[in-house]
Amino acid sequence: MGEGIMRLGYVVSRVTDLEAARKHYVEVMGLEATDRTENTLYLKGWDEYDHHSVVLKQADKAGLEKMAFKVHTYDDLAQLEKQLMQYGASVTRFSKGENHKVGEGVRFRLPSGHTMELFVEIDYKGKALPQVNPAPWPEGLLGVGAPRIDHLLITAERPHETIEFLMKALNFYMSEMVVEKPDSDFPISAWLFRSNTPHDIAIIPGKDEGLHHFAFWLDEFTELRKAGDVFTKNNVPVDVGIERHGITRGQTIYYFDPSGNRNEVFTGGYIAYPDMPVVKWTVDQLATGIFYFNHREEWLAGFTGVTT
Amino acid sequence: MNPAPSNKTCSSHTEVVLSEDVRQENDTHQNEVRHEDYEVRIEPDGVTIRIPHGAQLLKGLRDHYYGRDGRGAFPGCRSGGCGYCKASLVKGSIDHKSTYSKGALKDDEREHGYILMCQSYVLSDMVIWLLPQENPFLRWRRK
Ligand code: FES
Ligand SMILES: [Fe+2]
Repeated sequence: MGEGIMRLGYVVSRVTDLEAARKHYVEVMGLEATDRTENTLYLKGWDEYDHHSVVLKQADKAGLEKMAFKVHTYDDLAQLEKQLMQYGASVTRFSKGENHKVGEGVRFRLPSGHTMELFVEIDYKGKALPQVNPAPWPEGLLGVGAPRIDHLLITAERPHETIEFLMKALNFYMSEMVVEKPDSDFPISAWLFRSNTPHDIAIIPGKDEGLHHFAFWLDEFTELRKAGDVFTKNNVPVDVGIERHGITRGQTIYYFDPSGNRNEVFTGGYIAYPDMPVVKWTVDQLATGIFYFNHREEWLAGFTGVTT
Repeated sequence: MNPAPSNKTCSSHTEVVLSEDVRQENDTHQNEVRHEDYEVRIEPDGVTIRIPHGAQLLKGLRDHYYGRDGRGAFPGCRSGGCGYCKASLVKGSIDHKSTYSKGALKDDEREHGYILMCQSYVLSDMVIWLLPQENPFLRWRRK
């Protein structure tokens, strides 16, 4: 086995009003539209160099259509395909171009019903900065000016099945989990990674195929303050924040896009290595795990229960 | 745009520049009979609040119902996506917007009198019935 999955490549999110979504993701979040068709918009952050990290699709429902992870090499892809089949997943190959600007890969469903894809190649677009003697940030960013996508959080009827699937069939590592008691090893929720951040994907209890949120990275804590300013200036419905996560130690603002999909701007957290000892949160302390400052029990039901 | 108001140039006549939306809304109001606030009864609590003509139902509840008297703040998306604001319209009339997620409110639910409060604008006195919400973590909590 080579190096396997590298990172979250892109999410495909359904929106009920593509023009409202374009205005939000481009003018408020500051993403660059790299391509569009009549009912699809391709976007990336200024520090990203692949063709897109967010795809918005006009649909009559909000929510997550699929997520795609980028794999190091075609050998890794073949190996992961084998592991998926050994695990009992039904895997389909898709060919180059079936996903706009993306090479061949494999598609399958998680036990939670979410569609996931693995790919190796995607068109190179380049950062908004030159590769030689770059300035630290580009001119002309709009609104929040998010540099890149960071992670996503999905919901599942039986989270442990999807957690085990991701770890066994796709070699995800676990950084943190929610358990019933300190000596329990049964994950009620888990934060998993393949990159060097505490999570590329997390799974909490809720409906199958549900999207809790996908998150954009911000480089510094003070940029969260600016993001909050931008949200209120633009009437973006803010959900929670600025807050600190006990889990991952990140800092955050949650908000909703115009179709009601929850997004997050996220910064901080630690560097995660594959050999890190797993951090446990007991379910009675979950409120601090989720929001370390305002750890109010009564927020949990709404925060975890609102999904698309 | 008019200059920022300052104490020095204060005159007897103040003009407020309204955005196009607000101006249109005001014009409509002036051409109609001025409406009183409507009474909205929220079941199963039996609480009654008042909401102005044409105002968003969810805004009325967020202003006068949620976050009061021991009730939690409203956690939903306010954007027609999550379905958390789904309620049954028992009595009354609303203007229900048409662009919202069919995952939040299915067509047959809409036909059976369910609404998204964030997509509903109040046109009469009304009675609504809120739906119970479940906490997905609750089954893991043993006290
Ligand atoms: S609050 Fe989410 S659909 Fe109305
Ligand atoms: Fe997150």
